[in-house]
Amino acid sequence: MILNSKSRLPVREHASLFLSWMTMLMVFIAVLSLVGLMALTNLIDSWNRSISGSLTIQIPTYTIQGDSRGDAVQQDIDRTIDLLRQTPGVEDVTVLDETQMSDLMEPWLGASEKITDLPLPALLDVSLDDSQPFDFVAFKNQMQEAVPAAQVDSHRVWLSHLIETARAIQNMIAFILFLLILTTSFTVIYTTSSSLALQAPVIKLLHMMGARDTIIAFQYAFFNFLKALGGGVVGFVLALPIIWIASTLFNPVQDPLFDAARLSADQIYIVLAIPLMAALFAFVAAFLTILKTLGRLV
Amino acid sequence: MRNPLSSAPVVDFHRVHLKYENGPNVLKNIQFSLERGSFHFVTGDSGAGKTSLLSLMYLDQRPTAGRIHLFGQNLSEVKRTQMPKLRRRIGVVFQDFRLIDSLDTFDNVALPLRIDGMKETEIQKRVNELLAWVGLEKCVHAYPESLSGGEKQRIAIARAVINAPDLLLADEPTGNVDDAMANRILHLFLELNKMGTTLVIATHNHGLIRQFKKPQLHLSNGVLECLPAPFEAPSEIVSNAPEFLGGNHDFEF
Repeated sequence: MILNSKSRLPVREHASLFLSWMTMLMVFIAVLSLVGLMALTNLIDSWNRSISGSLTIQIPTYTIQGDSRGDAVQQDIDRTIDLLRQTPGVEDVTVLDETQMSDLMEPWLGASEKITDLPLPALLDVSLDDSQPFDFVAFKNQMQEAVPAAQVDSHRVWLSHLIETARAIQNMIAFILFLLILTTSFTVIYTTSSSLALQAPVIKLLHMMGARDTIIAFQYAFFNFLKALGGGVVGFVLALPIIWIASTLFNPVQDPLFDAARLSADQIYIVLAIPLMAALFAFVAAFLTILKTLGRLV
Repeated sequence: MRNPLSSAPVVDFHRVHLKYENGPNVLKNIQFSLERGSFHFVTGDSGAGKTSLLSLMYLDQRPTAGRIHLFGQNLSEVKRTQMPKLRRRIGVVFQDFRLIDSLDTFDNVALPLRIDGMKETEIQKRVNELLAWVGLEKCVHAYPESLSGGEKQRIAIARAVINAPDLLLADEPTGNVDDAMANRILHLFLELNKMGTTLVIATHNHGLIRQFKKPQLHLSNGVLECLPAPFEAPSEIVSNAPEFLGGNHDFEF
């Protein structure tokens, strides 16, 4: 039996006002946290993609020996290749030969130049295995020990540092979000219990009049749902200007680095669902609490 | 709802004891039966156990010991899911009224019908008719806090009888009304009784007991004594109670 609006459970408005306020606040913080978390996750994924796939290592020539492809250079190349072979996540290593170097330099030096006469560094093209993690920072440190003069793509290392920092922030936001969900859960349960104490005489009366436990619980829980949904929607709307301001600050046109932070359609749906999820939680919490209370009656 | 062929007593107590936690026995070895259509007063001094006896009948608590049959069903064997149906057959007038403050008069009285799933049009008809009869037609949209004790009591009575229950339990139902209204209310109860409703009324009002000459369940220190009706009950009683309660509208009360 679904009671109509006239016959819904007579609950006191002020008893559940606290629930609306709490849900509003929690949803407000949750939306901001989740949007931040999602944007950061997107950025990290994007940065990860940009540093995956391949890597270039430069080994400079030693002009004092008068031979740019001398033994010392070859030893550095060998040591680098050995190190790469021992490093997880490395798929293949290719040392660029003269033809490849000529092709690479052609736009600047022209086709006829003999590049062997120039003090160009030896270039190692490293293919990375996407299915395995590759630790840029650790690899760079190892390279500095093994071949101090070698240069690993510095922007990638810088980006990997950025990723590490971003991941730390990501974990922190995730932890805050977890705490928030936990706090919200306890708050909703506590609010429901407190409110139930005020409603107890009414609920007991309905029980004695022959209303089924599930109907009483449903009515009360549905009221809780509406109150929480109302508060949640307000909290969501209040969070929108802040998200807009943040997105303006990281405008992709001004800084392409943050372009990938845009939320996908699926992520937007998840954020949109936060007020509904909070309201559903309030519903379930109230429903179970009331059923438990009614279960203690005869 | 009603089974006229049922010969089982509406209420049957067998060696019932009731004891509250860490307290003395409130009711001791209570044993009685109430046939369908019977009318009993529950009498006794304050604290004798009248309200506790009624609370066992309206299923607010279980006995500490003994067996209670209600409408022929052993309560200890009735499943929890079947209890609401039993409860809907019982109307209760509480001593403290227990009106819902957030509902107006109409919605308070309509509550049992809504719990029963009655159509709103029928609810409107019944509630307005009954409220007019108990003289509360001007208070239809008033909230309990703005009403007098007598008005609240009439609402509580209207709520208890609105669905013409099989068993009506009333705890001091005339305690806050004047004699004329008390008489009127008792006649409504008699109308219900005439239709087959079993009535149990706890009261201190000896005037009513003398006037209506019904048997008594007399409690003294938790022990029950069944006293017969002092004199023969009055013959046919008619009143202008609402038609759905069996009232005779041609009669000017």
